Amino acid sequence: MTTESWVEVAQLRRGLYRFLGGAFQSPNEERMEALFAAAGYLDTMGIEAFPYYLQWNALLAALEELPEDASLDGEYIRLFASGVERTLCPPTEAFYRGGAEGGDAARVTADVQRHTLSLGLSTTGAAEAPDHISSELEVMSALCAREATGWTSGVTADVEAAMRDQHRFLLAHPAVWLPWFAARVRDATGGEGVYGALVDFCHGFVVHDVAYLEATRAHLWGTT
Amino acid sequence: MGNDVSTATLICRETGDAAAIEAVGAVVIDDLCARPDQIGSHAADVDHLVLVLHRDRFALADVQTQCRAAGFDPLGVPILDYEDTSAATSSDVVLAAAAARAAAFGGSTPEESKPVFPQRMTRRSLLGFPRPEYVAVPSVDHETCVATDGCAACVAVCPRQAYSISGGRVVYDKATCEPCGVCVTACPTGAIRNPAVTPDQIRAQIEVLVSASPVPVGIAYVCRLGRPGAAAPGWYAVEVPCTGMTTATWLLAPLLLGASSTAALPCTAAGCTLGLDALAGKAVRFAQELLGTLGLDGGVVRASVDEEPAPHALAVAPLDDPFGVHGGPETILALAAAGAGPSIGAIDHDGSPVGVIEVDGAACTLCMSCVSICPTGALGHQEGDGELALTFDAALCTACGQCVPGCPELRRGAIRLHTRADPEALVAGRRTLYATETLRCESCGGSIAPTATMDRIGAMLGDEYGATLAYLKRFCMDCRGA
Repeated sequence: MTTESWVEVAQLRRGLYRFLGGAFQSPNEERMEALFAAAGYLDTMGIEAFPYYLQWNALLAALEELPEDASLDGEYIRLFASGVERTLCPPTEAFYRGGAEGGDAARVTADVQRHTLSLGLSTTGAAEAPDHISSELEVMSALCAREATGWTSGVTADVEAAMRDQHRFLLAHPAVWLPWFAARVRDATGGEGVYGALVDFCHGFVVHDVAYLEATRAHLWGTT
Repeated sequence: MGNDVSTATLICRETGDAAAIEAVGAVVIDDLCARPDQIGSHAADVDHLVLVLHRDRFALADVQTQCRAAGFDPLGVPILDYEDTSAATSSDVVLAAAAARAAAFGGSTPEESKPVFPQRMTRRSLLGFPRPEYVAVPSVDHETCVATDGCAACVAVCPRQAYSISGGRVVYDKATCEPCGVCVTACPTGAIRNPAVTPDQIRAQIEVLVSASPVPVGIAYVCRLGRPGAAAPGWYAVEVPCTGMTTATWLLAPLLLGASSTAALPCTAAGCTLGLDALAGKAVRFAQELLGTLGLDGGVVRASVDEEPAPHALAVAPLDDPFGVHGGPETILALAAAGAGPSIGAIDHDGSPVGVIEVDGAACTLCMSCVSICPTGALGHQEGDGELALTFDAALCTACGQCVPGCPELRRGAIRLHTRADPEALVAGRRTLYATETLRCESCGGSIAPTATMDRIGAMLGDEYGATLAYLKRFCMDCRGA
């Protein structure tokens, strides 16, 4: 597969959001196998057409450097899941937007949950918060899937609506707090290892996606 | 001359043509423009990449894609025009300088890249996804930015209104920006950078152009969107996003790096699409007038490259950082030292990269708002011996003008900026612009306020509040009502 058509690009973005959503969940053996397989597949989808390819390559290199029997459990818990008080890099939006930034944690969380439910999704696992980064990335993945369906069926209005919703959701949620979250992870990891590379790629991908959606909507529909 | 061993220079040769460029160390590849997928196999195990391609014969998006696939950030890969390069006085010199610019590339962040869909129709754009091209756009270092103090220099100069201030913080809108670089050179603290046109890159390129050529050279800044056209022998192009960004400081910098002439060229005969022609023109005229006043040859600064550059470089001491935030004052002083010296009088010119502040003591209340806003520390204050003084160091002033709109007594003409190059003022150091006595508290002896401030308050209150004013003048905030 390549990035020769709009639907292929939508599918690539859908896959990358899905991959990232999974990568920020607890890294059990089954999930890691799925992620490795997904990474191999996504790498063949023409991702080098986009600037985040350089961060993607660094992530693949970090994954390849993992020893055969290595587990990321310890590092995942250290960074993301050591309990509210001790977590170095809380992967939930409300943490970053509930306090000093002047936001409203409950409102932010409820809004993400509303998006999640409206797309027919639900958070899995008792410990996963509605505003967990994985949940937000899954929302984006679902919206990209809608866009791809619109391209396939030729219903331009569906494509336009899906891209508008993607842009709005990114600007309302992940694009706002991801820079702060990424900075914390970089500090905690020194930018090294799988999670250092993962957050770099995620940040680069989301920053690009905001600009990509703006450019695409302006190009196709003159929308700003 | 060979290229740096860690740089691959790849030159496209169209099938059937003889190679017009045969530079030492460069690799000539058939149909590279049409088949950029060849980049990877010729650029393995090198740190930097330079491409020489035929204008309008390649798809930039495809070239950028193949650069990435080969492990290069395309924003750091100079793409030279084949025809211009072959027509240059020395292709070897051009390629070596491009390699130096590539080596000085410091990387880009995700925020510094903007997708742009190509305007011209291609087979791909008709049938499918028209891959976007990526241009380098500026980013703001909020640690260095002083918008929180009231600076809005970027907002003032941007021709596309891509900057705004919200909550004391600069907000940059990438979608609106058409990267011209004017914000980069206008920022008084150097907080804005464009990864593809950093001072380090420009300096590295110019240094090689100057040092690699056996004869004095002319440096011509050219717009990335334009085409310089035929140049007389001895001129070399240095590409920038828009020549509107070449302030007088940037324009004069090549002379301090050993070039014999310098120029800033408009992008098209019809004029700049962003309407910034006037900026480069002002810089050219100021630089010419400065050199002429100093007894140097103002003709070494040009607005065209029709004639050969001057035969000899100026005998001027090189500067460490001619492109830096304080490059303007340092450049003027270096040129003054090479010419008639600092006692030449002042040159008032709207293209001056330095300024002089004048304060009207009858209107200034010494509130120090201008000091708070001044991004470079040129304006300061000094307190002592019962006196408060507003001070100014011309050597730190970049003529950004942020102090003027920030003055609460602007309408009374309390402060004025003169875009003025005055070498004597630059070497004079910090001087007092205006000072008044500070009133002392009768109770604790502490400072109340400058008399100028109290006089202004009195004038605003009027006679009927004379008793109140008298009371305010006797006690400080802490002792009032105690």
